[in-house]
Amino acid sequence: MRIMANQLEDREIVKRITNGEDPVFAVLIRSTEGLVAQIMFKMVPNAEDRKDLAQDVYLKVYRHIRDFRCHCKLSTWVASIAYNTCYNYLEKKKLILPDNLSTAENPGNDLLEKMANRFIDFSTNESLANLFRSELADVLEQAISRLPQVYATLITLFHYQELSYEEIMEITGLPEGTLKNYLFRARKALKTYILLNYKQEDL
Amino acid sequence: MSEAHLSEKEIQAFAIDQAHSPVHWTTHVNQCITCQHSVATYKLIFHEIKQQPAVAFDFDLAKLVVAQLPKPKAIGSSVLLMVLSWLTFLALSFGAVCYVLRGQFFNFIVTEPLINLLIVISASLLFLGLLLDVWMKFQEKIKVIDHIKLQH
Repeated sequence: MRIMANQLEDREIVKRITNGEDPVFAVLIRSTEGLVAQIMFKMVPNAEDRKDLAQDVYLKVYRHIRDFRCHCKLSTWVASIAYNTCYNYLEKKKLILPDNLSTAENPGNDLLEKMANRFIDFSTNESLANLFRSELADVLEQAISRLPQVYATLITLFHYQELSYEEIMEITGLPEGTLKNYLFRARKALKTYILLNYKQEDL
Repeated sequence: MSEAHLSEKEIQAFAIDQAHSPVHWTTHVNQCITCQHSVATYKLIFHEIKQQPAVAFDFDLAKLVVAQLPKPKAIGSSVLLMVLSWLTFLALSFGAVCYVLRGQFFNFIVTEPLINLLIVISASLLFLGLLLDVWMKFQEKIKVIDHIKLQH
């Protein structure tokens, strides 16, 4: 019998996994591993460690799924286990990047204006826009990789996964004020990095 | 036009959710080139983050994890032995009592069938209750042991 994750309510999934239905657990893994991967790729740089930690995350989920009380979405609960597992790993290995985002740097209005004008050009010149986007994607990837891991994860959860503040708070355990402040600092750092490092001759 | 530019925080909030921003922000941004550029830059960054390719594990995570899941536990041989011992003990005790009191017991069964039935039912219920209690205590102890194992 093929089981589709979206056909099952969280409560039903938990019940069936608790009753020893391993195929349902496999469905849960497949339906949440995308979100878990987003967190792990931002927090754990080493591929081998990611492989071990990903397995560790789901074994923890399996052991503790009886304790899940449906206070949030099951995927959010799984993501919180992934985040905490990665965070503990980083702390243990002393790999947490310091929060050294500089807010003093000012890219200057001329660069800002050129960047904004290129964005406005998207609608008028498609080939130019594609070229610009491709280069920008590379610079943005570099910029995100230079952020502290927690900031990069928050940016991904909010802007890529489009999770709400409540869901991100549930995953990370950060208070609302701290979460919003981290996101603000991370966005500002991305803007500064991109404006200062983008090939100026292309602007 | 209001002279004061929007703060960086306000610019970000405006770029994220223009529709629900205060009217005076919109009025200012519509008339201020500097703030328009800032908003446009943030919108570009947010747009590009959404366009990033999805990351994925390059191995079959579900297969690896499911292979490591603990197999369902069969009832332990020690538990089975304990239950069988109890049943044997009870059967032997019952047999011994029946043998010693065989004359009176037979008369009792024949003469007082209703009382006999009540005794049998009460004894059976008592026995089942005790058995259930032992089983629940056993499960609780196993759970505590599993929990201790998890913490290590």
